[in-house]
Amino acid sequence: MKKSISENIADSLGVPKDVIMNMPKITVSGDREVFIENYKRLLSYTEGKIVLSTSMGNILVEGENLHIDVIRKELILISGRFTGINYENIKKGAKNV
Amino acid sequence: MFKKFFQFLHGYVIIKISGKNFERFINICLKRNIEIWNTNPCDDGITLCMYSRDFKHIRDAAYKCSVKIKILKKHSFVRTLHLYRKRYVFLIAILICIGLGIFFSNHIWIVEINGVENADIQSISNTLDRIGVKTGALKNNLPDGMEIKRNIINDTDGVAWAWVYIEGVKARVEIYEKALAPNVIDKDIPCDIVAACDGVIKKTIVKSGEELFDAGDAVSAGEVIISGKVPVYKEGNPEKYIYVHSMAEVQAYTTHCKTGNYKTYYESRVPTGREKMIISLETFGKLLSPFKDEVSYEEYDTKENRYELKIPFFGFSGIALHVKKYTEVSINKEPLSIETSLEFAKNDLEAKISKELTLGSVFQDESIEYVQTDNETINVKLTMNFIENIAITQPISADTDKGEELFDKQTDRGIAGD
Repeated sequence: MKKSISENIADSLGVPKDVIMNMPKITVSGDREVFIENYKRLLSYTEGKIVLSTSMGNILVEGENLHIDVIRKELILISGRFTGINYENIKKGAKNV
Repeated sequence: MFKKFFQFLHGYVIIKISGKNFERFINICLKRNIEIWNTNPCDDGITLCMYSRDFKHIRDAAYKCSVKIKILKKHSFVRTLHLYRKRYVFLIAILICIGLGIFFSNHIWIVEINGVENADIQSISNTLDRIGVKTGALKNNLPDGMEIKRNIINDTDGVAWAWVYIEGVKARVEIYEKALAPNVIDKDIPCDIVAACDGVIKKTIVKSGEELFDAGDAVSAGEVIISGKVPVYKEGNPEKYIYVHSMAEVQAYTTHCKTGNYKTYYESRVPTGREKMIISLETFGKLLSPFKDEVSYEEYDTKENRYELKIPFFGFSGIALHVKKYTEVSINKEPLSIETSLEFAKNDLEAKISKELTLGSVFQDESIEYVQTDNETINVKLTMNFIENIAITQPISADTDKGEELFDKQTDRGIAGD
């Protein structure tokens, strides 16, 4: 797979990719809490699904009783009971986490 | 907790946003650095919290996104004050509470003394009382730390250092005791050496004094082995005596014997699962127990815990919770073999005998005998033989021989005997 220039820089300098490439950083605590940094916009918000727009596509958080505990410009803390976190509309195919 | 307090202090509103584009509305708010928290989806929109000052700036965003905004609740310190402004009794009660809080927090309600093992704790307590470190004392009127230290050290023997730490309404007194120096033998006091216990002398090393027994002689406890009264012979003169401080090491074969009754079963305490908790409140040194401290269990174990309420940056608030937990137990008797019972008995009797021994005793042999007194008890007798130093110094009584010159001199100085 061909790497982008920023990815190459991040690799060679040993700097985290989310800093250089502005990629979203997702921290999951079991199935109860998801912390997402570097998101762009909130696209959809219901009890069962939250969709966030990021630089690399959309992130879809699915589960039950989802609610946003903290929401700031670049970070969001979602709690509830999760069933899955998916990438949507990614140029080179969707990935499952 | 602090965050919630500051949110309340600044004032915030809980609003309901209904409409199709509420996500867009949230994005606009975030772009304008409007803080949002506690978002929860509801039937036709979401509810969220935001500061009252930010609420004034969202009108155009709501218009842009075609959403309807409804205030569900307002929370603010100023608003609460405004609401309660005419409730005079409530305000007075709050003021009284604050006043009482300030009053109680400015006094000492508990004096705790730590680190006392050999010193007289009553004397320390009396000294603290005298200098004003006592229950009910005003914190501002407490004497200087150095003065407290000086008074405690002067009034109580064996205290090397003391300091008072004020923790909330508690005065914690830390005491460090002196490590006492060993007694210096006063060699001017004439002494005999007597036997500490019955035994047969094995060897005697005399440094001063008159040896009265030879190796192989039997002595009983309290008998003089080395006399401090030493005869002095001079040709042509009558026999005279001098009195010395006897010093010797007397190695003797001794026998120590102990008996005791021991059970031939082991009692195990198994919790039945029934428990009872008695909670009492300690306020400023006084214990208030609303419940009777009684349990109906026949056999039980107790465990007591004390939980102090501590206030940040202040310390102990003077309020503590005492929790006494009773756990019912059933006692099961598990039979033991005679060998195991004897082992238990032997360990116990050995510990008792070891308390009677002098320093440096050498174990020789032991024998154990037992008699079954009933089905559940045995009477055990343990006999242990040692080689030990049985020498004990004993001052010579003043009225033994008043005619002697040296002794007279010593008694004149008031140092001979008791």
